[in-house]
Amino acid sequence: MISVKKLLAIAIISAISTTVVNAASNEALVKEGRKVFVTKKQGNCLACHAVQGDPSIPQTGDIGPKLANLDAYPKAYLFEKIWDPNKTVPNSLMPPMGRSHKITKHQIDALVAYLQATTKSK
Amino acid sequence: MLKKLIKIVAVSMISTTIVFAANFNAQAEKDRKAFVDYFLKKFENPVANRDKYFPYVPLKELKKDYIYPLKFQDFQDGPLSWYRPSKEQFAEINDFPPYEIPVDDGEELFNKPFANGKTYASCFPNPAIKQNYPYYDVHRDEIVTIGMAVNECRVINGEKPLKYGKGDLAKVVAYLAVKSRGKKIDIKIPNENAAKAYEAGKKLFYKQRGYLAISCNECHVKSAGKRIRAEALSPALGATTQMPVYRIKWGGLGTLQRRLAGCVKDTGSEKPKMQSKPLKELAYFLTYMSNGMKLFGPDTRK
Repeated sequence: MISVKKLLAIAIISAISTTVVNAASNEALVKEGRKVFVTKKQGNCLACHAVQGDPSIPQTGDIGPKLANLDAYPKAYLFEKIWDPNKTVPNSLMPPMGRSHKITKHQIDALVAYLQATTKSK
Repeated sequence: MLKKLIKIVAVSMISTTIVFAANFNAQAEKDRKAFVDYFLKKFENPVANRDKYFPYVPLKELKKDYIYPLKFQDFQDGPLSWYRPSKEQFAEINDFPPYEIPVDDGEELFNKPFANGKTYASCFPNPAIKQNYPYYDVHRDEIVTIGMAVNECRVINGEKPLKYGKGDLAKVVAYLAVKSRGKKIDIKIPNENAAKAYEAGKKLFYKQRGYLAISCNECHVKSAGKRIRAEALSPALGATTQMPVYRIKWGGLGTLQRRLAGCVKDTGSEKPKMQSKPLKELAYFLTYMSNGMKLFGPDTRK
């Protein structure tokens, strides 16, 4: 017979470890997202966009806006923007990186994680 | 009396021809004026017109790195026309222009007799002709490029044609370019089929292509005067004046078509073949847009 105390302890430990795992996996995702952002054969996003809050990023272009405060937007909205920007802005210059299968859904998730973590409004 | 009648008929025939000739390029002239106007306005004062044309370029950079106002002929310099850091860098490189040796080679090839004893001069008695290419040949009913003209000269003299885009062909074209420096681009649209070819080229220029779904227009009109990574984007106006170019990336000369094909490939679509109909149409349209600009090529690029 498991005591209430023991049960509670198990619950707490599992909650903590889940959080830790989540934080760790999010950190990995952010790191992966940055790589997608700067790699020419992947996202190559820096060709057009600068990023607020990431001074170590290599030379960026200035065709698109500097990305800032993206944590203020829902994840799904940012995902859509990267998947196919023409859905929301029909004459957008931005390439449909998801729709044209240049990058995967997972890579877009990683980009969103990186951008939300890095450009956080203070 | 009969003499007078003939005179009237002749005059009316000539004037009809002139009216028709003007008609074939009416649309193209309208396009060209709007095209030139856009670039002149855009580069008149980038600092004052930042909101309209350069919203994402930091103001500090606009003030420090941009050359303006740009006049029509200034666009001969391509990406160097507006971006001071590139202009300064290439001014140094061109102290000893890397295209000089290939141009000398081109001159040698031009003057070297073929097996039949004749030279290129038998086809090009006046080598200052690049301003007229590509032209629409009404008898052959197709666009003739300067590369084609060089190879056709070889063939009628019993020589094998050269590979298009680079190498010896680009060297001969570079020599013709040097001889044509200062001549104003003069592309004509002589008949209805030429107007159709122009329209086809225009369509290609504005068509989104490749997995990046971008058009020539998006990078070289809308985004001309901005940077992609650290590279200055060249304005489409004047783009053909500098050809052929010596590219450091290539380690040699390349023709207009070679450059265009590479750019199309960069958008993530299939690389078009040299002298293919679409590529010639695109070159025809693009060169027409710079009508009246003095030739400046060859030049050096990254």
